[in-house]
Amino acid sequence: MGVSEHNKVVSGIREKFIARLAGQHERCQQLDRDWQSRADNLESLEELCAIAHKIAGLAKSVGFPDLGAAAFQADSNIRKWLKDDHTMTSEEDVATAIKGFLEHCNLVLSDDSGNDQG
Amino acid sequence: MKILSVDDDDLILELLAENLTKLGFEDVVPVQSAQSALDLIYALDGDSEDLEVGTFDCFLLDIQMPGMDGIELCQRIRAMPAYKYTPILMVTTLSDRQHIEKAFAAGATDYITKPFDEIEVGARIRLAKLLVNEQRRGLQAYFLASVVNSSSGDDKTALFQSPVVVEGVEKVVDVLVLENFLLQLSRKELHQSAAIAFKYFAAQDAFDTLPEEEYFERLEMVARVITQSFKESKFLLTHFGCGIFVAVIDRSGPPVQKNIGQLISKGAAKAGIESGEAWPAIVVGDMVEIPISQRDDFRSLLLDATASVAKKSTHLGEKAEKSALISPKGLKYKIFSGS
Repeated sequence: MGVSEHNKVVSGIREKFIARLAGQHERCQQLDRDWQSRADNLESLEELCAIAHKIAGLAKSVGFPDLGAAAFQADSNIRKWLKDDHTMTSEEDVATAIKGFLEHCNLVLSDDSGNDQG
Repeated sequence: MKILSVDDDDLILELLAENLTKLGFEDVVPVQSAQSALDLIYALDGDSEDLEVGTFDCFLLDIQMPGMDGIELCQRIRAMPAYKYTPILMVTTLSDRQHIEKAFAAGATDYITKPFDEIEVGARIRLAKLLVNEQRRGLQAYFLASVVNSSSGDDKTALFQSPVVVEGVEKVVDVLVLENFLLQLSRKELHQSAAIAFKYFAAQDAFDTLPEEEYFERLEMVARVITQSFKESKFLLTHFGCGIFVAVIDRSGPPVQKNIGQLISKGAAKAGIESGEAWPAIVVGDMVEIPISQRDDFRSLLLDATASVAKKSTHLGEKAEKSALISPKGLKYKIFSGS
């Protein structure tokens, strides 16, 4: 397989990633609202964490390193919070990380070229 | 090389397969859950205990998946005789020590964190394959020596010195797997680690006088006692060769008791060795840490620990000769520790 064909395949994966991100972003916004309205709503936080985890594992590989880093931060902070490790992560840290993650999703989705800052 | 790649994210599977194909690994089979992976393995290989070689030459496993996770899948695959030595690489976003340690304890050969670099993945698969070949060569040498029982002095010495893997004891890994584990740790986590070496005191005598099989049973016994002793701690253990074991312990976990000799005595009792029964005497080295001021040289951590136990062992050997510290059988229950 030639380089151009490889790039074509990777570019196809990137397009699928962006298409999927739109739905994930919408769902995460809803989950964030659920959690903000009721801090003991851990199920929402768990689902948000799982989505951020998925995005963290792939974003950089398809050209979105900043989104990948923001998703990783959200995943990591939520995970610590869910483990009840409140000495390392405060509720504010979790909220800030989620906010940053959602902003980066928005940046990628609103940019026609699909580039983030990284 | 036939690779089974398991991840609940279809896009990750697609990207991995594409990158691996580019690197020359063209036979990649993707599946989206641990259960599907097991179903496929059983369908292709059956559940025969006698099967020596399985369909797959390498596994790439995600850790966090709905249902059965990648660590349990790793354990299940490793328990199959056909995949006892097959490279299993964890490919995951989880980069904390707890998950890394669990994965290696479950039998993983290496650990790659996402987002992965395609060239790194290829290099790590090749390295894992090399490691497995080395393990097999070591075992072949052992079995050859056992069966033929006529190995030359040099071969025997090499066998005694080689880090033959002690199998069937939880948390005991190959030396190179332990190095892979240490490589994955962050600077902070590495500095939270400590190494302690243990020596089967009469290892050389036992190796020279006992049948190889019995010698390796003794090593397994020593490994069981050590792992039982550190049950409350987070650790991995390896056999370095010459009857020397090294445990790498997470100091951020439950504190390690100061009197390790006492800990080992309790471990021996819990490991089912009755008081008075003959079992190998163990020398305990000093706990070694990497000073913050030093570079992150994990090899020196392991070597300093082994040097400490070797020194103590030599010292105790001289003392034993003078005071007949060791019983005539040379195997009486005894712990040597402290400075």
